[in-house]
Amino acid sequence: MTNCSDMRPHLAVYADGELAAELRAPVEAHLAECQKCRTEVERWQALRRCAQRAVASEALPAGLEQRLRQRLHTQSRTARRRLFTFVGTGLAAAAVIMVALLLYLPGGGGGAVALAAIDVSAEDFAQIYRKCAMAGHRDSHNCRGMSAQDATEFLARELGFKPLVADLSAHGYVLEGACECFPVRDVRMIHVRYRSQDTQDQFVSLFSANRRIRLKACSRCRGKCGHGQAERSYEVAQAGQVNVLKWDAQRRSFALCSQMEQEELLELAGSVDFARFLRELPAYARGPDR
Amino acid sequence: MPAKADKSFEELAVPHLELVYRVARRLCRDEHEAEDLVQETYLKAYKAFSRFEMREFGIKPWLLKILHNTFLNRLARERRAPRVADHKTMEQMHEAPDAGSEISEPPALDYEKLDGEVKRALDDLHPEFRTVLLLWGTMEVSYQEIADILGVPIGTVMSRLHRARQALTRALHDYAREHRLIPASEQ
Repeated sequence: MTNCSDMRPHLAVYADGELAAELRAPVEAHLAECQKCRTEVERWQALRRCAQRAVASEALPAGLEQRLRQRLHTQSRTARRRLFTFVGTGLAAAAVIMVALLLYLPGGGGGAVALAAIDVSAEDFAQIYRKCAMAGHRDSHNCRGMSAQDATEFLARELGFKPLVADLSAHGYVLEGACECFPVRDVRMIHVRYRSQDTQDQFVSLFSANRRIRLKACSRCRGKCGHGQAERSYEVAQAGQVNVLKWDAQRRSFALCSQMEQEELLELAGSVDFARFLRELPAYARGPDR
Repeated sequence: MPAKADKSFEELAVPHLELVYRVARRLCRDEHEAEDLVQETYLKAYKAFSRFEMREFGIKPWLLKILHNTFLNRLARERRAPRVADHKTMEQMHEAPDAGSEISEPPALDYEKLDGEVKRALDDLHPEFRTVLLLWGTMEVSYQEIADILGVPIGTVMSRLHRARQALTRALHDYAREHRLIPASEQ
């Protein structure tokens, strides 16, 4: 007969039905001969039943399922409505852009403004997003675990221009790092990347350029930018499953990039305290457009 | 609604509502807070559903994973000060032997009569240990699924489970001894 003390570490796991196959036979052989260990297995099983009753005793509140289904339907309708608005606004915006382009054509009288911006494609953003955010490429600036405020100050010192570092914790995203790499020359672009704490496999990258860029093949929409702020114009474009939402302020451009739906990205951008970011710009001696 | 393999999110996820609520209810200790947590979990899952792949274990562990992380995020957001009981339980757990070392057998008492006490003991556990014990207590997920939900190795699950069970049996034993529910010979 095997020793009880050899068997004891395995009894609770055996009681759960989780013991490795090679250990099961010797434990069962021992149990066939040992009343004390059989009793112990029964007690572990009784303890689990007890825990099960404690969990199972909570009845579902009346109407919860209905309330939940209603919220899911509302969410679904809102998403559809936003998409329609998106498309509608995009078409209207396209007409405006056409007129603007005509005005800026040589001889049109305003070419300098349009030519000043650098063209960047959604794929340029997506490339960095896939490499740095999703594949966890090495960060050029280690700001993991810093608050948004501390990371902003740290990166501003390192870069010489102030990047937008948003606090996305209310959405369940934590700051993972920052990297200054971008496939387009003539623009300095820092991007901070965030990871979802809930699902761990969702990422958001927030880009800050030191000058204005123009998103190629984009459509336009309007959305809020921070609580209580007026709506602003956003440019949106897609590269594969990656969506890019870009906006401009003070001769600079900013962009959010993620695999989330465009309307979710718009919602995320709406929660960024961008007004505060702009208010605090003068605090950085070297200015934003070095 | 987004669909996966011809099934909508609602069709796949709502059947697990009862299980998700039960775990949430014991995590939150308050009915309203639990309902909020469940609704937030489902809305997050709904938004992320297009990126969810039906892996080996299906949608249930995924929902429980989102529930667990949402709960931890809420704790962090609210910056709740750790409860005195939590510290106490953690200290007790650090004093307890690790899995694989000498394991004390569960005390001889009638667990069937201690349901109320079990709930109280569960509530006193640190969230890290409470979650593992709750998932184990549902009898609907394996060690490997618990590991997947919590994002930790299976060895960590076994270790936490061991410590949580020890804390639970100790709490119940203390209660039973105080109320003279176990024979003096076994005290």
